[in-house]
Amino acid sequence: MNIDDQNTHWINRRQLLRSGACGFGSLAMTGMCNTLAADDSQDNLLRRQPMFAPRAKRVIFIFMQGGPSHIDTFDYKPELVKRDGVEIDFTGVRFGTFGKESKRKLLKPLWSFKQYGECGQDVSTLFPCMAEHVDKMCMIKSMHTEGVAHGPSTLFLHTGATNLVRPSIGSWITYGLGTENQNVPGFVTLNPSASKGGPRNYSNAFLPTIFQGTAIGRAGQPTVNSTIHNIQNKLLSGEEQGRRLALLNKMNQIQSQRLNREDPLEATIKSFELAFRMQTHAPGLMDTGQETDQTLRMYGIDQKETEDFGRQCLLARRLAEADVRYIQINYADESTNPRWDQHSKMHLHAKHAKAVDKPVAGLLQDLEQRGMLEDTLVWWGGEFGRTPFAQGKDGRDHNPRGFTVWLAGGGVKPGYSHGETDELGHYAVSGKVHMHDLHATVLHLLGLDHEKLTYRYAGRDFRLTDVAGRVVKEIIA
Amino acid sequence: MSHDRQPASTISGVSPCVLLLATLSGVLLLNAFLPTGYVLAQDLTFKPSEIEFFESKVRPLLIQHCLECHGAKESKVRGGLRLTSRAEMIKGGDSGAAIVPGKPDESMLIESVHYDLYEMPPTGKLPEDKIAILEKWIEMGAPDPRNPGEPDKTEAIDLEQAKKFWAFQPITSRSPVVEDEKAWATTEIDRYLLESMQKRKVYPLADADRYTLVRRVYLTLIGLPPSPDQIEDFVSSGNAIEDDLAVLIDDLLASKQYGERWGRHWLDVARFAESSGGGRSLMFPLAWRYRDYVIDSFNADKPFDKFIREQIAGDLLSFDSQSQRNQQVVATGFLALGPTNYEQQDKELLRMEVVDEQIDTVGRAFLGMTLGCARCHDHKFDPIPTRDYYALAGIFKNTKTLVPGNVSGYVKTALESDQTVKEFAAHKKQLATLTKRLNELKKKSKQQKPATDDKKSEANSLDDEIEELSGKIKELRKKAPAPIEYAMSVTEEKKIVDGHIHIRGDVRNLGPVVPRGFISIVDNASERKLPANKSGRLELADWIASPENPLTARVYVNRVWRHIFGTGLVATPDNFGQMGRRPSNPALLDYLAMEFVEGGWSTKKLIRQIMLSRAFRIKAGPPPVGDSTNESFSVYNRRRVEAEILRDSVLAISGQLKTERGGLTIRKITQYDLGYKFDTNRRSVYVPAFRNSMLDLFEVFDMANPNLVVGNRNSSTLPTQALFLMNSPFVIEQSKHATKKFLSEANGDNSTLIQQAYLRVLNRLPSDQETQLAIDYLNSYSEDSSPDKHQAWAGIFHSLFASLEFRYIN
Repeated sequence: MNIDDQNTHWINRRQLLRSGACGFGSLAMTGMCNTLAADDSQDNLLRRQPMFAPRAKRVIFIFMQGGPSHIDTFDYKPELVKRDGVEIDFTGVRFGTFGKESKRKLLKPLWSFKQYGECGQDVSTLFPCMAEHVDKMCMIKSMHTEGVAHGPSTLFLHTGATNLVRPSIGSWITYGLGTENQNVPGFVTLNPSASKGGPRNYSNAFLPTIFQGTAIGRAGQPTVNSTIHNIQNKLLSGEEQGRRLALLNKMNQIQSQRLNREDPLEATIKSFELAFRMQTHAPGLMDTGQETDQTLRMYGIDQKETEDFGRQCLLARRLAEADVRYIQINYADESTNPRWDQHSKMHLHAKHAKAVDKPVAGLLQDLEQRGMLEDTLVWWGGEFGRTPFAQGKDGRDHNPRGFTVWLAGGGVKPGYSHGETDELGHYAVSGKVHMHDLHATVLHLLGLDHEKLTYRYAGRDFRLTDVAGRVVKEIIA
Repeated sequence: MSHDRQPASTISGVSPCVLLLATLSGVLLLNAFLPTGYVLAQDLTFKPSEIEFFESKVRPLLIQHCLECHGAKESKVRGGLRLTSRAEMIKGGDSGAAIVPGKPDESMLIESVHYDLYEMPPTGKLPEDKIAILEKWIEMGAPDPRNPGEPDKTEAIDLEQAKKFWAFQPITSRSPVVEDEKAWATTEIDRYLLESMQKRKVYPLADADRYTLVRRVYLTLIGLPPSPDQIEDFVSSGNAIEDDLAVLIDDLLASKQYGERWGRHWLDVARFAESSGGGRSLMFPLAWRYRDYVIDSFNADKPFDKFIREQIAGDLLSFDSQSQRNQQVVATGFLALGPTNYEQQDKELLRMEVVDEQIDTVGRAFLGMTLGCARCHDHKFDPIPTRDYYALAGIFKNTKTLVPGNVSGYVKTALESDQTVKEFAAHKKQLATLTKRLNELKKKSKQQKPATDDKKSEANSLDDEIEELSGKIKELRKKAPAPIEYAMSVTEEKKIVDGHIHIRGDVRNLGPVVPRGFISIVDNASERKLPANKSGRLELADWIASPENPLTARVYVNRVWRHIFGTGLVATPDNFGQMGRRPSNPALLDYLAMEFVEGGWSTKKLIRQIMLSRAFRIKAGPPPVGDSTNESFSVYNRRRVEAEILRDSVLAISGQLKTERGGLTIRKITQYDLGYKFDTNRRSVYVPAFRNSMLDLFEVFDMANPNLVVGNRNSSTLPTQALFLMNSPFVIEQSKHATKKFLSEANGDNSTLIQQAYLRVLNRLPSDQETQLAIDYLNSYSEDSSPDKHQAWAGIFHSLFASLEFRYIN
């Protein structure tokens, strides 16, 4: 048995109809897709059905680039407050200090904590709005990951590899489940950063091109201007476009006939029809003009500090409504020390917290109101956390060995907290969850077995979690 | 207080492959995947799901934790116990049976891993989930397909057995056996294909017409469409088609555009890019030299064996001139310009990642072997033991590719003689010394003012000195030698050492030292001794570029075939291993490989030979019943053009294509490659190639991913392509340009003009129906107004560019 590892010809017409058509097609195509899927049940290359009953249908990942401090936000450590300024031993993990022993001074959180909700989750004063929603959240306070620098850790977060070229989690998920949406792509990332792995963070790598994430906008560019490439024709009048399309359609019909209506040609004609529908529907999706003032306020779009990320959060909801499978929104930029990366001036965390707090809270509230939180998994977090000791006089270094992320909706326990870091918040010590484990868990919630979601490339089967990963059953409701 | 570093739960950065077997569900399938000669335990039959459980859970566990001491090697076996087959486990060792199938509670193995009886493994107790796996497995009855006495295939690969695999067999010649060959076949290639067709009872389609052929030849060889005149010449010639094709093919092979097209094919394989991508993307402002080197090599028809040697070991080859030496150094850019994450903080790991990438690229590009799999364990499917991997790794570890630093750098080599470099450095140093002295004097002179009388003479002499020195510096500047040019390259490490095996790929878990060497399955030398004072790269290059190597020529002729016919004779050009496809026509593949080597490894000769076959002239169409994947090439594979052809054709037709050749084309070297504004109208091969950003047209039309060796590009059909063709400013602008050029050049009534437009874009004449369609379209615009006329024609060109046929080679 031989398997073509390059997939050049793997898209036959039927598969194309299933992938392309179900991905971007019209409502009218849906029935046809289902028929074909049933027809093709032997073919597991484009698996559409989950492997088992899913808890979530889609994911919204809220990426906090740069590594927000867990000990200043959700992981309250009284011991750290008590021992502020005390020196501890530390073994270097960076180039130049690798393996070297040194002393570091503990730095207490800069913000005070209070317990919220029925679950009594500690939240610092950085996130007053998110704090109102702790009873929806499932905290994982025992995260650890690979890489120490932003690039490798960010790639690891998205692809499960620090350096090797691997598909993004969103690509794996759309590969595993396909898409249910009709007129927009299945995997969208809003305003992603060009650096720290850049496009590799939403790339399909060796998976077929259709599973690549569609980037809408770029970090640093106002969200209000974000659009899909070439979705609109800005150079020709509507009338002229219509004329040309009509001509093209007729030309294509004649050509296809001339070449005996072979599969690839017919598929190409279909792709034009689908493109046309995308052109009709997608821009509407990005247009928030129909949203009420109340909704805009809920996301903080009416305020300067929260306007931009508020738009991202609102678009995330709109994309979720349109059944986009994997939606990533990015609180990110292009600088060497991205956003939450406070090696010095920890107080800048307040600025970033302000920018995301209300929008994220608004998204949770909105999803709940619309009954969408049940089958939408929300994931908030960065590529790592920060150290409990000071860097310089008022900063914190990267900490991949212990940090916090939270999930909400999509089948996770609400108002729950899993795992712990040590008394100082440095290392995850109990209920440890590696990034591979989190990946395995996200797939599990979507009805995918991370060990079975594999793809043959270069003569072997690859998966998101490599040879690791454990589903964190403890957090599943 | 102190904190221990937490061990990571996986080996960072390493990618052990997922056990394929875990996903299989049948013994039949299982058998098909195992190397020939591998037999399942015969006295027992286990359910496929049970075997799967063993393969995916138990075998890896045994290998990782047990077989080091309880493996097959006599010298190593502890306590007389081998865990290498079910029978041996039941038989047990000095203390008795290790397992009692079905009864985990009575099995010594289980007691020992619980640390009750013995404490196994001694290095640390297994986690609960792994113990549970062993218990479950024994409860199942210990299903195990391994046979006693046979070495575990993950421990020792049977090379003699493995050598029987087709790709490792020497290249041999066998004549085709065909009936009634004169009826169709005109060349030896045709006879091999005819044999295959006759076996499948299929017949070759008729020859394509001359319009189709001329477009096919132009696009295949130079990636640009023929002009209406060139089409006319070819179509109206009264000569035999063979003769006309021979002349045309020779002409095009001799054109500079040939290297720009075929060089690009090799750049796909070489995962060429001008930035590193990854974490903190580094720009490669010198990478263009390698690109130009490749293009020039194809144009000069550099023998492929030489091309191999230069890319792997160009810095070590002898040379007759400085320019030859420069070329050879530039060629090693092949090893240097991978997708390295220079920011990786674990520098030992980074170094190994680079080595791994080099091994993988060399393996796939030249040998069609996925060697990377053997980094953590013996290759599961191909006979590549981990030892071989580290023998090769030793060669590349002694090759310097990185310059250390927080964000590491790459090695640059001066493209000048050592003497010139020395002179340049000496000049620079001299200049620096003088400038320093001058600045000192100037400072001093400033401090002295205002001058008193008695200090005046001193001040004067100071001023004199300053003047003199300034003059000297000026002189020296005039004599400045030209700045030194550099190339991205590799070089030998100063100290040559053999490396260790990294157990399970972990850079800090060192196994035995392995002498540097090659892939034993294709290495005929009984013992390979590489020079102690050199990396062995030169020897590796020689070994790969040798006619004796059964893989090299086969892999390359297959690549060439693929670019002419759309599919290779081996459909997986980068994988000739167990998991790749088998050749559809092994005799033809060997024939071509042999001719290629005998013909002096000449790519042009090979292309010419293939394109002059009758098979190349066959019409395109769907594969016949009886040969659904067209393995005998009885029809020509209709194939989508690559992104470059699409773009270059549009620009050629619009008259905007800049034909300037070579050189640095990155407009401005910025810190990041993303957000780069692509604004060149040069041929696509010269458009800056970044790993973090690509010209949108390239991205949409499946440009090769510059992170991977790509012998087969994707060929997708997506709505984003349609959106691009309908709405992108590029297509709309170029349609306008094409119109302007066209209306200024072509004459005649609308019907004649439409013929001309079709010839320009689709390289054929329109049917009556098509002419009528276009006439009606033109008539729907006002004829009198020039803007209207241009608008109407722009619509025709736009639609032709977006039309189906423009996207295909038929």
